[in-house]
Amino acid sequence: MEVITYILQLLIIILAPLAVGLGAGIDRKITARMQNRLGPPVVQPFYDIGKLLAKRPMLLSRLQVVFAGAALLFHAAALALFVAGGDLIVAFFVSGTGSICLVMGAFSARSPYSYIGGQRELLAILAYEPVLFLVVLAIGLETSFLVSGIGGGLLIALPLVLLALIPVLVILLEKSPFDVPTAHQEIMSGPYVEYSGPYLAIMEVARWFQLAFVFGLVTLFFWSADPVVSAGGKLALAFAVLFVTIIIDNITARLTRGRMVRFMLTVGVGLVAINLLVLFVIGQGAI
Amino acid sequence: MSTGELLAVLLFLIPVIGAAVVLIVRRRGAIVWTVVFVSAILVLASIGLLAYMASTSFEVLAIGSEDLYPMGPAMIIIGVALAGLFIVIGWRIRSPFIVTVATINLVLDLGLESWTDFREAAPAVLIDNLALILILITSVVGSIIAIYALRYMRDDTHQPRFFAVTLLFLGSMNGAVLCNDMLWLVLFWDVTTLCSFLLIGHTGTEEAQKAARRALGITLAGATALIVGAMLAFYYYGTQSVQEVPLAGLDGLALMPLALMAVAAFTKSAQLPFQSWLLGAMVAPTPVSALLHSATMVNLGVYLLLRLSPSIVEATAINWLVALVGGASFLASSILAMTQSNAKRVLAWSTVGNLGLITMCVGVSTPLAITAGVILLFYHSISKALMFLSVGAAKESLGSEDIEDMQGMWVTMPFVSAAIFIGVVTIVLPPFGMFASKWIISSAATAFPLLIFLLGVGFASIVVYYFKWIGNILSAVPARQTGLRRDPLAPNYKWTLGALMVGAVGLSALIGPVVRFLVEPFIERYFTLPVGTNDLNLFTASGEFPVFIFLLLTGIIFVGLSLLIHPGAEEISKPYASGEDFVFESRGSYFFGEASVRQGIALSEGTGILLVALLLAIPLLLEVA
Amino acid sequence: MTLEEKMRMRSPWIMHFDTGSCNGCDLEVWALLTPRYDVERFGAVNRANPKQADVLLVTGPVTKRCEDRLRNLYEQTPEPKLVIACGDCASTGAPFHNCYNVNGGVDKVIPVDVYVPGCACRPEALIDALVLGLSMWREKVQKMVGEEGR
Repeated sequence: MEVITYILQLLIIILAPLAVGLGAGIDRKITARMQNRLGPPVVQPFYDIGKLLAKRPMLLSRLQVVFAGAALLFHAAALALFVAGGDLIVAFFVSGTGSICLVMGAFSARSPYSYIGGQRELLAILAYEPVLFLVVLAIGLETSFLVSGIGGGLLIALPLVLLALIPVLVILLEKSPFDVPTAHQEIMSGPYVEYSGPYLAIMEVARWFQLAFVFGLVTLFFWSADPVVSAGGKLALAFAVLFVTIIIDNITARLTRGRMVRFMLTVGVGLVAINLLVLFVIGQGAI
Repeated sequence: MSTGELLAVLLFLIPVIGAAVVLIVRRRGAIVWTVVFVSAILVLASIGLLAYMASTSFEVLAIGSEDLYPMGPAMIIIGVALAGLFIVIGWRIRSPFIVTVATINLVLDLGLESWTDFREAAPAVLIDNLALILILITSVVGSIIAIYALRYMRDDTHQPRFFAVTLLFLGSMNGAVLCNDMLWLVLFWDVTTLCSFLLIGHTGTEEAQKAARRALGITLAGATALIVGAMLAFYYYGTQSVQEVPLAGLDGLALMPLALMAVAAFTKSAQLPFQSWLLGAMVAPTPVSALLHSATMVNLGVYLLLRLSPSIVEATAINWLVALVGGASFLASSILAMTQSNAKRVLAWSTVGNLGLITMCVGVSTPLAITAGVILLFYHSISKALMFLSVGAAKESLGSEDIEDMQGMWVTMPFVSAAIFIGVVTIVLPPFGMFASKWIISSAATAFPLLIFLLGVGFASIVVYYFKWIGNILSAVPARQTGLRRDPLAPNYKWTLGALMVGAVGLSALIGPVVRFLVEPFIERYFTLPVGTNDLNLFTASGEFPVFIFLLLTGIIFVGLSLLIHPGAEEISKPYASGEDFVFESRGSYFFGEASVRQGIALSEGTGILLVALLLAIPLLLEVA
Repeated sequence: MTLEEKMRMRSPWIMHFDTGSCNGCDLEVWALLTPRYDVERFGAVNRANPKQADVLLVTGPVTKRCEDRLRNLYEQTPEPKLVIACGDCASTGAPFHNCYNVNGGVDKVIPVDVYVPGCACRPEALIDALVLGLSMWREKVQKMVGEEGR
């Protein structure tokens, strides 16, 4: 039984980022359909990765690659810790370390767009990390900090916390209105600008791991005793959240970085605060 | 005298004797040898004390007052002389505030001494694990800083004075930590104040004088609070021993001594609204900043808070205010640090923030939080010393402390850059020691849900200001394209920075033993330890942190990747700039202008004043109600 | 067709550069992304960054001012890469032939793989050029490998 669990966990760690890649393909397809276009095939992100891997590498400094690899490994470690049922706070901070590696990779290439991208990514971190941190702590307050100890009931107890995760995902998925760090029209995909070929593929896969972790947080909100229902419900919930972010992406234009930080630190933090306050007042939570 | 007692006396006496020798001999060569000798003795004695205490399985080491009773009158004379000196200093710098406060202190001091008959506290010297941690920090980190200063201050014209005061500082800090008698604590507290005043004003410039005066004024006012606190403690608790403050059953005005001592601790630890002296002290030479921030001075405040924490735990009326002062200091300092481009000011705000976290831990007052506070205190001093000394070494080559001037330092000064990088990483990122305490704080703060909001924003701000700095350092054109040469680095710097780097990383790897041998015995005196460890992992009731695996992973990632990756020359291309070839000059964004920063400081100071006023008012209000 | 070749065929990322065009061709290039022509169905994305691009779409005659920039961008595009000269001006210089401030066609500065005629070139022709270019990948890659071997 032990062995089967380990194999299952390993499978999830490998499959989750692939699922995110597939989700990115679905995202592009849905976006295209919303714009009355045909759109690329659903497996397009995998074609892109394959092509990038086959391109000749080109870079500015060795550190770039070090940080790209570090970003991938830290995000993977965060996901592994999450899937293995470890401590949520540690997983959150390890995942944050991965994001910081992205910033350091951007700075280590001495290039104007990369520099701006790095600065903006830092602001994005300032915007979404507090909310993500509060989401993690709210989950911990309500149930447990150990993923393996989290049962059901989160969706009913913490609906606003789930809502607060949506703008976080908008930033992480690099979608309007908060695609500030990677704004492709202004600063040519920001921190990624000096990455090309295989190194860009590494960064992209690192991002899949990061998203897998954050979508993992989303899936925590649904739980059922039946493993099949539970898995289906988790997937459906993740997809629903993805769909909401796609709609937001398609109906909004980019806001400035100041607006992003202010929105996240007021509305994002506020949503969590209100939810915790309500729980406190009705005395239902573990507070 | 037992070995332990002998070592304790050595820890205090040797630096003082060394200071006297330095003042008398005054030759550069003799100073170097004296400082090295004293440092070696301090390191050996502190480690010896650790070994001795370990051999007695960390029993509290008490040195009775009878042995030390002959020193009583001498202490009075020194105390009076010190207070008189403060009055003279106040007179000479024409500061009515300092003269007034010093006079009040003198009167109160004499009053306290004659009232308590200077023999009440028994035992006068008490060494438990908290004191041991502080002694290790002061002796080891302080010695490294003193040795570093030998090189940094080599061209200074007042070296005898500088090194005498530095050694006296270390000695008095050890003395303050060792003693259990409030009278003695007040005395050593005043000596550290005097030392910091002399060191901050060492360069003698107008700005330095002003900063020194401010530091003196604020910390003297803190000493007043401490003395009044000691008097009230004697009145209410009938004891003069710091460790005999009752753990429970305090109410009404009996809480006043705790509140006053907390305020005294805030002044020493530069918590809101008293942070300005520490920021001003940045004009002092770098080793002084390092001493103030990591090895001595500011630690004394949080030491007192941690010492009183078992009492504060039960004093539910004031602990939430202590937590709020700490939390507010943490949040405000983290946000304000983002607006600074001077590296030392960034570090100064960061110190305020980290000490704020420790204060907050004392205020949250669960065993979990207090454990986190002790761990944070220990690791913070190592990393912060490393940061300050690296900035000093960088300044010697760059001639500037500004973050923007450090651009591309990675190529010209790889060793110092690596030191700054390791310093930042050990402060911010998992799985290093300071992160371990932040992890515990995060789960401990859920006892007090308001604080998690302060923590969330604060942690993210820390990432922003530290990694903007690291970004500037990394942002370099590779050496082979520019032909830049490495700047030579003095061996002294290499060894001191290297020792701190190894310490910061190595002790993070040894966090299990650190928790078991240093932290646990102190916490276990009052609570059951809420953090378990099997030397590789840390556990709490609500989570676990596989320290060792992650440390291994981090090591593999950074060391392994940088060894593995060797791109060929043909892979290196030009940076993308829409097809242009141009020399890129960047200037980081610091988000707020001068005016907003001033407003921010005023706002946070206002909040601090309000909280401190409330802290002092609550015992009165409780008494009336 | 190996998997690698297939993936390369299915994911041509575009970098569009205007070397002095009258913007007629540029409008047609942008039309490629609209619902009517939708090149994204072939996996093509406009990256605006040579380091991440596979296909350089160049419009307009190469003015002397633009020459260095174009060369820089070409050098910053990692191999294997394609250059498509869009429209008459980019192909030959057309009305600007021998003009004092113009170099002529794109091929005076960098090697061109596909020429698209038309003033302005039609989006259908551009898609055709893209497909033609992609079918040249194998040849291109073999040449690249050969050069590396030498």
